[in-house]
Amino acid sequence: MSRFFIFCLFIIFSLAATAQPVLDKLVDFSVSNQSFEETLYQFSEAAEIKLTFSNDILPNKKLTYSFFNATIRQILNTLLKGTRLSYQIIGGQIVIFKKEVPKSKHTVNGYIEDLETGEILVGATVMVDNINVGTSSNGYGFFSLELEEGSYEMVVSYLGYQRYRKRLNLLKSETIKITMRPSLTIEEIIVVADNISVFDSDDYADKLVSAQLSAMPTLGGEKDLFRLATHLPGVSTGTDGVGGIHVRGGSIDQNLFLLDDVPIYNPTHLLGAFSVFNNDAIKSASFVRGRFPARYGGRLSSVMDIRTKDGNLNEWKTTIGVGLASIKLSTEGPLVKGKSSFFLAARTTPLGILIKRATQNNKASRNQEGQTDLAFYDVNAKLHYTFSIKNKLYLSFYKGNDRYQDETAVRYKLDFAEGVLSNEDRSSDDIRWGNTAGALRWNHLMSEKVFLNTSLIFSQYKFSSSSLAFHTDTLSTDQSVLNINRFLLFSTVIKDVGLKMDLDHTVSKRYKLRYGGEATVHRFTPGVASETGDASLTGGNFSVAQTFFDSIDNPTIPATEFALYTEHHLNWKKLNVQMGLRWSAMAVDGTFYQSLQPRFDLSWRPWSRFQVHTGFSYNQQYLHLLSTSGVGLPTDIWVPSSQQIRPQEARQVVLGFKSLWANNFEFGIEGYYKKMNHLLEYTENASFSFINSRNFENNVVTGSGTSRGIEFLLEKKLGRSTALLSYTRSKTDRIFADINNGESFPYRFDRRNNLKFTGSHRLTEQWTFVTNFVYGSGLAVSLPSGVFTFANASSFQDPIGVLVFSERNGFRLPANHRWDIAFNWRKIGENIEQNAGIGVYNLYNRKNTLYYRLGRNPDDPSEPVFLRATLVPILPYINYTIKF
Amino acid sequence: MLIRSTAIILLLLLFWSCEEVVDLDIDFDPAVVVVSEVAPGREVRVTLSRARPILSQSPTEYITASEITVSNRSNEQVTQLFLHEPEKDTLNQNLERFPFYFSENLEIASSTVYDLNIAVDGEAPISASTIIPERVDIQSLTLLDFSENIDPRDDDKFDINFELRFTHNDRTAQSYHLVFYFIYLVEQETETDTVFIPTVQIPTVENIAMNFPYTFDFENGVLIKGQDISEGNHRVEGNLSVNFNENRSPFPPELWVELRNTNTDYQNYHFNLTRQLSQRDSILSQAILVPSNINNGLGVFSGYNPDLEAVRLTN
Repeated sequence: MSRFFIFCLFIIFSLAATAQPVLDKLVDFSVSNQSFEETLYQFSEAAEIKLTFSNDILPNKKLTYSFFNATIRQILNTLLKGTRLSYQIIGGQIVIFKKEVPKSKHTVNGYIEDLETGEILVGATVMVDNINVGTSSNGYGFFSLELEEGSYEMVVSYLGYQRYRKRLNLLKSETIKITMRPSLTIEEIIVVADNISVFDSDDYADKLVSAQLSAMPTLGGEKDLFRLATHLPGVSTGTDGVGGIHVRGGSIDQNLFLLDDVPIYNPTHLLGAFSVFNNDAIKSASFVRGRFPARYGGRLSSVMDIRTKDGNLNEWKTTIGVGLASIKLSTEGPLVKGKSSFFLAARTTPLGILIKRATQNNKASRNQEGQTDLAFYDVNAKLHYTFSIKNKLYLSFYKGNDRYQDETAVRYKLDFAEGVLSNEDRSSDDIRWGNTAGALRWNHLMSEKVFLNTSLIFSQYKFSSSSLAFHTDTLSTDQSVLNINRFLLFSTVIKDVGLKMDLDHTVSKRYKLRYGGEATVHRFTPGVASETGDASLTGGNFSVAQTFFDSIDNPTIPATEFALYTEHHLNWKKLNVQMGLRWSAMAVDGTFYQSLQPRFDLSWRPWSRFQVHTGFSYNQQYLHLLSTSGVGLPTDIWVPSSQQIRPQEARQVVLGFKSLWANNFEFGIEGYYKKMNHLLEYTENASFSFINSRNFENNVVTGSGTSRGIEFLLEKKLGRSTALLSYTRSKTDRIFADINNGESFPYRFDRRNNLKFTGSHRLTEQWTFVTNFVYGSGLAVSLPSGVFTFANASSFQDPIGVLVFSERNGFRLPANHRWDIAFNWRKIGENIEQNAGIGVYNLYNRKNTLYYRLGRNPDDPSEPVFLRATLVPILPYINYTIKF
Repeated sequence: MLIRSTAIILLLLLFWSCEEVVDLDIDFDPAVVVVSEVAPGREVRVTLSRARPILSQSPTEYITASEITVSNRSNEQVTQLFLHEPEKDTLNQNLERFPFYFSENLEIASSTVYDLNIAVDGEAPISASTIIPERVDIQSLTLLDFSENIDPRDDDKFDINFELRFTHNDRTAQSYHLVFYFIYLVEQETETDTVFIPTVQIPTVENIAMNFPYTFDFENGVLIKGQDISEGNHRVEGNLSVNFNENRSPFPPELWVELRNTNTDYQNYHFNLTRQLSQRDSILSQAILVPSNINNGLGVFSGYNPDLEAVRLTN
């Protein structure tokens, strides 16, 4: 080896030594108005050297020069100056050749849209076939790629759309519009990960595709993003959805729901039965649960990023849907064809009618009048205007509300010897809660490589409760009337106004940069309560009256949250690296918290169909949800961090791989470990009489939690039959110094084993069979094992029973499983599209346990027993949607 | 109101759900339960009973065969307690009491640690210790109003408004228990004479205003978590309601307010027990574990130091 090295050095030095004297030889040479070829011939003769060149490469121009006593090097440099020619001595002769000029680079960018509606498509994959370079459209449908000058085959793919191919002859930077035609057959799987070979793809997120939701059998036939999300590995929920979403051991307040960039604080209707996101209004949704890019922050466990439809730019369309759970109407169309559109969707539930009728009968059986009404509605609206391909403006609005109303009246008469006492009690409870969200968004193409999104956002969650009670007694003897009226009011509000800017910068085909920032002003009004009333007694010759008023007015707490982030996306051959850093801060109540949150994600593809990935993320969360139940009731109160309560934080590492075979099957395993600190829990001796954002610190304790697990995913993506199978094995604990005697205890939503299957089979062109199966091991609950008597001999108090719990969450509910099926029918006419579904939720009528509680035997009230509650039995459904 | 709204919403779940009786196999340890709260000036009393399975319908089994001693750790004086058999309560004639162990000779002192040792046949030795806090004096107890309630339906209901002031600036242990007693004489005619029988009623706490956290406890008193507010100057304004028949009690009744400066064992036990009782019926709330400082047993051995003040209730 060393001998060969010495030999090479000898050859190189020998060539250099012989080359030098030739070029330094002095010659005289003159030429006048001669062609380049002729000039070189004459110079060859004059210098007595051998020049080798090809005529094809010589420039077509005339030369006139005179050189006296100049070296060959000087003459050649002068002759070849301003040309793309160079020279080199090879084997004793001078070879003139054309210099390799690097090809110029150009950018191809633009928006990817639906051909029929003009809707932008988020997360579409753009591949350049012959050089294996690709990207994906960002959250605003924009993509950008830097390529060298040349001809390429561009292939764009998106779930539910036919593949788009375009021949590109790239001589300069271009902005193009890619329009994709929807596929008539739904062959793909419901949840897909991106093509693993694409650089800068949103590989960290699962895509929850709205169009595919239509295929799933769901509760009441209502297509719901939450139901879809719970089919992902690592996502846990309570029985039949009660209890919210718990991602990798995180609590419900650790999930961020973004609707067109606006955070939604209470994402469910009807106590978690349905999400507030109307499927008809959703264009796309992605779900991040482990590999957080730096652009997301403010929550520890997951981000669901939802984009609503912009509206059809080309024609008017109306969709009407009827099901057991909801009645829906949406309409969209162009305001200025091809430039401006609107979208409007509204949804409500017919369940209230059933509940009203049932409660009327129930109250009548108890000699009462009145009824209970339970309803929800939501409205999505959006305006969109395209000024040019460089400027687009969006105005979106959401409002949703749940309402519970109960009216009861009881009348009775008491006969006395002296007369008759007529009594009437009327009460009315009215509880409402809901979100309001709005966003004004401007998409601007700053240059061919830099895309800017600016969003002005508004979000509000409000819970209010009012209660009226009227009592009237009338005595027949003296016609005296006693009236007592009482009015209770309670409300809690969180309101946000914010500004957000995101920039996508395509630096090169191997390097992309994302950066941006946001500022949000939160206003917490955690609890305003008042009680007013009056009492009067009037008779034949007397009248007494008194009014009373009492209120607790907790002042609004302002808090400002800031964030700046930068993401670096690097691609080097088989390696994709995303490095990010997020700085976030919150100023609240004289306290300033800030943190630097590193994010790192690396994926390596040693073979074309195999990818290994690993990642690390650190998140901080400044908002906390005070919840007595932990299952996400609308009465839960959002509060900011304070001087005593530090922000929650989580560190998570993931490691996994994905493999693809037969272009149709994907198998992946991902393991994770998550450590959470400064989690909040009410103390076991918390005082609930007076909890609000000012004093809640005295009633909560902070602790930590860990969650670890391994998740398996198997998908068959294409063909008449598709399937997704996921299994998660995980363990989640909490430890608080002041709870459970300071010992570690299982998290309430700790499901150790979670198996989920969903599949579909296209029977005919119009009919598809779909099925779900879910299995989850039992949740952890606390049950009393014994009771003892607190008999205090030093007190006047009667002895009372005290329940004995061995430990917090030391008992397991039975395993939860369910099988759902549905047959979906779809017919597409020239102007009308019809969809219908008939299905059965919980086909084998599994009585899944919602909770156990200690109660009394209905057959023998003296006997204490454990009661088991189940929620949804076998429930058939039918729904129908027409679009025209 | 928030709690009420939560309760209504949880009722919705009950409306939708279907309940059935279920058999569960839950391990249970029939531990010995000790209840004793000791204070200066009060007779030391200890109740012993045995925990029973959660679904048991059998009455409480009180333990009457045991050896109990309480020792003063400062002077190493050990006092044996003796059994007191059940009898009719003198103040509340209808209340059937229970057996307990007591000692009239043991004087409890402030800032002293007491050790409780119990020997029960077939059980491991049971023990506990607790420290008696210092007394916090009531500065003033003022009657603001004593009047018949506006609600004419209930002729016997009276409202008591009072103000209580005390100063305590102990930054290490500020937890108090306010206990109220409404004491009046009830006229009762015997065959030979008319006698007045003292009667004690525990008032219902309707409303309390103070500048530090509190909760209503299961004894219709108020548990207070102290904070260093206003340099320890505490002011409590409260509204109580009582049932009182003026015609049967010719003498003005009295309100007695007991301010207990409590130790950590006492406060933890009472707060947790109160919360467990208040949330026991909430189907989705987290279980509240009532702590115990008893080694090899359940229950509590805690201490407090009371100061008592009375005010005569006149219209």
